Amino acid sequence: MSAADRAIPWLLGIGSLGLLVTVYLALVEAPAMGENAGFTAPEAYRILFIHVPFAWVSFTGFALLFGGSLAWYLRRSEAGWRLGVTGARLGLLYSLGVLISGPIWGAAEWGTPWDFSDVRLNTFAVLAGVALFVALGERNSEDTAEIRDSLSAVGIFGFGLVPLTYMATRWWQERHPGPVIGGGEDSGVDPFILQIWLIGAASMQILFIGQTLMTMRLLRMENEVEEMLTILEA
Amino acid sequence: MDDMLALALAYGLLIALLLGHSILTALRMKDLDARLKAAVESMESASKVREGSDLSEE
Repeated sequence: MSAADRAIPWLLGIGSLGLLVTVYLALVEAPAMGENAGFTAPEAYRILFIHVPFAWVSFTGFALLFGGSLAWYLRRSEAGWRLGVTGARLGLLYSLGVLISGPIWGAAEWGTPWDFSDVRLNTFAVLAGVALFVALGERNSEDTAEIRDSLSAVGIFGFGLVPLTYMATRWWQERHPGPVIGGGEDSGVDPFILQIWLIGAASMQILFIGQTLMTMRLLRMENEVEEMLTILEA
Repeated sequence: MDDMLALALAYGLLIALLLGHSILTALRMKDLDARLKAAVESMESASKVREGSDLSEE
């Protein structure tokens, strides 16, 4: 067993523990936000303590999908292909977290779970669609170089939505709140709230690394089983 | 429903989504490990049978 494989349970354990701490801080320690803070739903904002880390970490998944797809497309790298598939699966998982938690807050704060005129919401949904397409395409198609090329192309071009999603609230802000970090003079957030976000994001990122190593190992094992079955059938 | 109860439920579901994925992946790995071991064993027994039949032919 390699050092990376041995690290998996530790990463999953530390990440999960950190998430439990985040839940406690978000539901118990964080203050309620009344109308004076510009919120109409004083408690619902607490869902953002998990929504924001989900969103930040989902971009790591999309970055893996992009890097892995590029490695397969340019170098025919098997490890690159496995990395791309891992990025698609985990990018989908974490973007599902974003797409479940976001509308919960939207429904309470805006009175509607989704706004089809908001660019940030829509580009992120399409990005999740890209991850869904690659993840399902890989699972349900024959494993050929042509299929891998097509799915990698979707992963590479789909990544173009990442900078667009990041900049959307700066260029066309409708419903989704503007940037709170690096968003200019009007941006900023209470230090305690930022601290909970950072604890949540760090915990989720550690969990994500553990899940990445685990998924890469799973894909390697699937490959080994297939190779063995081919030899046995021959 | 009480706001805090609804939030706690949402948090529970979201964390179950994350941890559930890890648990399912671990179960799939266990299953693959068993299949790998079975494949290795059948390869070994197949090679033993081949060796046995080669000896009897001699």
